[in-house]
Parts: sequence; C-alpha cells; structure tokens
Amino acid sequence: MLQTTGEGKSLDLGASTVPPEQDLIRELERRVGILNSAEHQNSEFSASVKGSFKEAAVWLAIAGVMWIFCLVYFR
Amino acid sequence: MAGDCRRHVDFLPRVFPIKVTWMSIKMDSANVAMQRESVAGRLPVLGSERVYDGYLSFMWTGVTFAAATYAFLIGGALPFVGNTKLGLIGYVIGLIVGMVPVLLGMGIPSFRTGADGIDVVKSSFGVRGAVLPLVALLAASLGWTYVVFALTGRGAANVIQTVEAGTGSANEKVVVIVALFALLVTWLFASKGPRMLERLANVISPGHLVVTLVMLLLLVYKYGPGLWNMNVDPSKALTTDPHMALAYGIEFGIANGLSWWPFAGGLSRLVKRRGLLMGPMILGQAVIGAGFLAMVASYAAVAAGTPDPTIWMIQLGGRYLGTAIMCFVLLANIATSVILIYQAGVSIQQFRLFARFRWPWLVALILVPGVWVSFNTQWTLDKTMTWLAYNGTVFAGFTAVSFVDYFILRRQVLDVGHMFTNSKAGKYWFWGGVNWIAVLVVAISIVIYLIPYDPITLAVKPWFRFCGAGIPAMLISGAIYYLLMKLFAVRSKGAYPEADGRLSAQAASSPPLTL
Repeated sequence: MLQTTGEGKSLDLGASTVPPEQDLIRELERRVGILNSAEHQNSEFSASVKGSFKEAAVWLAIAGVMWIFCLVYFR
Repeated sequence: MAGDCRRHVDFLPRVFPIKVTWMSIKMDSANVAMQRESVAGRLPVLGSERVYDGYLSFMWTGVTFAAATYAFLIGGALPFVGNTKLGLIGYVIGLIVGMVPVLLGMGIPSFRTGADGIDVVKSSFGVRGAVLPLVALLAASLGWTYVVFALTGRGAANVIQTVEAGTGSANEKVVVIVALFALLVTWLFASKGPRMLERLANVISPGHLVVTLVMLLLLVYKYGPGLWNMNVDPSKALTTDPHMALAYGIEFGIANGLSWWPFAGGLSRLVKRRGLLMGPMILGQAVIGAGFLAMVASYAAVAAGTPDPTIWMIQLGGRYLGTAIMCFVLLANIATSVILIYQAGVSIQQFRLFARFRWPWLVALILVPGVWVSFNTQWTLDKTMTWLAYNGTVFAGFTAVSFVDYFILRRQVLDVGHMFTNSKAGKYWFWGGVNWIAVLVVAISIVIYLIPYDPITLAVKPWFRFCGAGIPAMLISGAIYYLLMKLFAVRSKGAYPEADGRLSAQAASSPPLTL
C-alpha cells in the first residue's frame, strides 16, 4: 500500500480517511496560490511550449511523408 | 525576553517528547492525506508530487495503454482493408495525426496546472458543461475496462479450448473465473494509485515488447520474406482501391489516437518535465504499443487466416510457447485496466458523492459492474464495442474545442482557481455554467464525422478516400467553434483576453472555491 511521493515520503492511499471538506478547500486554496505565484509562473510548468509544437510538427511531418509516399508508391 | 522564549521552545521537546512527536506525526499524516487527494483526487498536482520524470517511464505507460488485447484485435482487422501494408502504414499515420492535437490541447494545460483534464475543459465547456466530456470519459474508460475483462475471460477460455483441440463453444465457467480474477487483480493494483501504475508499466511493457518480437521472429521463420506481401483474399477485403485502403487504415488510427483525449489530461498532470509530454507518448502508444503490435497481429492474422489472436498465437507458437505468450498477453490486459480505472477514479470525483470514498473503496465501487460483466462477457463484447465505436465519434469535437479554446482564444492563459468554483462570478460560467457553443460544436462534429463514414458497418462515401472522416470533423468543427465564439462569446462571456473591461474587472474577483 505504500508509494513514494516526490518528496521521498510514503503515501498510503488506503490507510487514512478522506480529509474533511473544509481541509480540502483550504488545501485547494493553498495550491491555487502556489500555481498563481511568481515562482510557479517562472518555472518550467509555465514556460513556453514552443518545444512541444516543434515536436508536434516533426511527428506530423513524419506522418505526412509516410502518407505522400503511400499515395505515390501504391497508385 | 526573546532569549527566554527560545529557551522555553528549545526545552519543549525534552519535556514533552511524546507530544511533539505525536504532533509531527499528525502534521505529516495530514500532509500525506493531501498528497493522496492530489494524485488520487482532483487537487492540482504540484511539481514535487508528480510521478513521471523519465522518458522511458512515461513511454512505457503509453505502451501499456495501447498494448492490450484490443491492439491485437485491431491489428488482426487491418489486413481486411484490402492491403496489409497500406492498412498498417495508414494506421500509424492516423495514430500520429490523432494524438498530436490531443496531446497539445489536453496534455499541455493539464501539465501546466496540475489539474485533471475534466477540470481543465471547464474553461471551454463551462463549469457545469464539463459534465458532457465527463460522461464521455467515464463511458470510454469504464466501457473499455469492461471490454478488456471480457476479452481476458474469453481469451483464456479460447486458449484452453484451442490447446485441447475442442470443437464446441468455450467453457463459460473458465470465462467467468478468469474475468473475475482479472477484476480482483485490477482492484489490487489500481487501489495503490498512479505510482503503482508507473511501476507496473515499467515491467509489463518491455515484456510485452519482447513477447511481440518473439512472435515476429516466429512469423518470419515460418513464412520467410513472402510474409510481407501477404494480403487477405480480395473477396473478403473492404476495398480493392489502394487509396481507399490507406484511407481506412488512417481512419482507424485517427479514431484510436483521438480516443486518448479522455486520458491525456489525467496522465499529463503527473509529468514533471514538458519535454516528456509529446515524444514518449507518441512513440510509446502510437508507434510501439499500437503500431508494432498491430503489425505482428496483422501478418499473423493473414498467415493464420483468422483475426482471432487466441487462435493464431497457438498456431504460431505451438501448444506450450503459444499458450505462454497468450497468458502473458492476457495478463498484460490488467495493466491497461489499471490505467483506465485510475483515470475513471479521478474524474468520477467531480461528483462529490464519490469523492467521499477512500481511494480503494472508490476503485472497488467503479469495478462492481465488472462482476456482472464477468458473467455476461459475450453480451459485453457484442453491445459495448458498438456503443464504444459511436462514443469515440465525440472525441474529434472535444479535441477541436479544447485545442482552439486554449491555444487560440485563451492564448494559453487559464485561471486555475476559477476551474474550481461553481459560482456565477466565476470566469468559466458562460450561460448557466454551460458553454452551449462548445456543446453545439461537439454535436456538429459528430454529424460531420458520420456523414462520410459509419464506424460500425464501415460503409463510406466515395470522397472518404481523399480526407477520411476524423480530420474534416476536427478541422471544420474547430473553425465553427472559433467563428461562433468570436461572434457570440469572447467579448461578453468566459473571461477571454478580448473581453471588455467590465467583465475583466468582474472576473478579477475570486469567488469561493469548491471541489
């Protein structure tokens, strides 16, 4: 039942009860605060996704070349 | 005075060591409970809590998702497009074309915010309108999970029958026992959360690859280089037109690629680095998981004269090796079910009733209908597969809406807090909590998809050979969504960057958060 979290602690998904609603909301507010913080805005999570678009373009180009090859070769 | 205080504080652990330890344990357990609520619940996942940090581990999860028994079934069906090579190449092309917009439109916003895909699409469908993608997600994840159980049960019984050279129908008792066993083991693994999912994938997927490679070598050994030119009898083929055969292959691939839409957000929020979002998943799922398995399955199906993997694997590998391979493949189904159930378990918590259950009990609750499925596997395969084929048609529209909304209309800016509010003052309230334009566009996309192509009968219009169904459905519905939103919404609803000042000021307030 134990799994290691990113901080190296053990996370037991089965042992404890679900936290009360108000605790969850407080935690949600804390996390939203972190996500809106300047630190997060400057982290990799908020960085430009140009790299992903470049990768997407490469994959689509591969698919396109295969497609054209089939259209031409298998006439 | 300050020194006195510090002395008192320093002194505390020595006087009340037990109390201090108890307090730290209590704080630690609260912290752990919240981490659990993020990875196995709807709280946004923070960077330190994310599971996937390596290229291979995320790739193996993609392989695991794609490499269930259904990959062999699809592969076995590909030669029936009329040309095995074209069916296969088209399938891989379609997978790439289908997955790229899904990974961009759903993967990136979930990666950035740490929020589940259903919470992210509240920005395009509205906080209440997101129930539409939620229903589609649950239908897809639960539907496929039950199909995988049914396939596992029937597959095991078929293997036993083939090995014993029996003639009648498969032993139903074996079907039920194996399906129930798969259900139980899925619960055991899924109840341990996403870290177990990653570990399972790291073991199962390389094994799956080795097993498939063995099958390929056996095929080449048995049939020689002539294998690559094998096709089904033209009388059994869907078409004799090579371009139409290619179009069928591409369409099967696009449908499969788009079906990643419900899962792209849920897994991307567990990824630590942006560079892992695109490559590992396309390589793992499209090229290796679906493509490579489909290649082996399609040539094995043509060579054996049947698309049923439970028959051709035994024919190919013989009584012992074939059975061992099939057993591994059936076992690997459980890993796929674990991914599907994890996603269903997180997303179903949009209904607060389900969020009150502890994770293992929630997983058990989701799996309960699987008991009925275990006793009705043939019915499940007959009816659910048809239903899933039509359910899949909605994902072209979902992909178009989520992509256009996030990248073009919102210019990649989301307010996480407003995804978690049910208030009229929220940015994503639109009209009564629903963006009816997005709902309408999804309905239109289904019509566009079904005009040239029937996913059940596979009947097509003549012009299907030029553009298929999924690509025009995505492009046209994306264009319609953009136009309708520009005309009716972006200035007055949804807090888009083009909104007028009054709306921007209203949206700047922070309404109360809810889960």
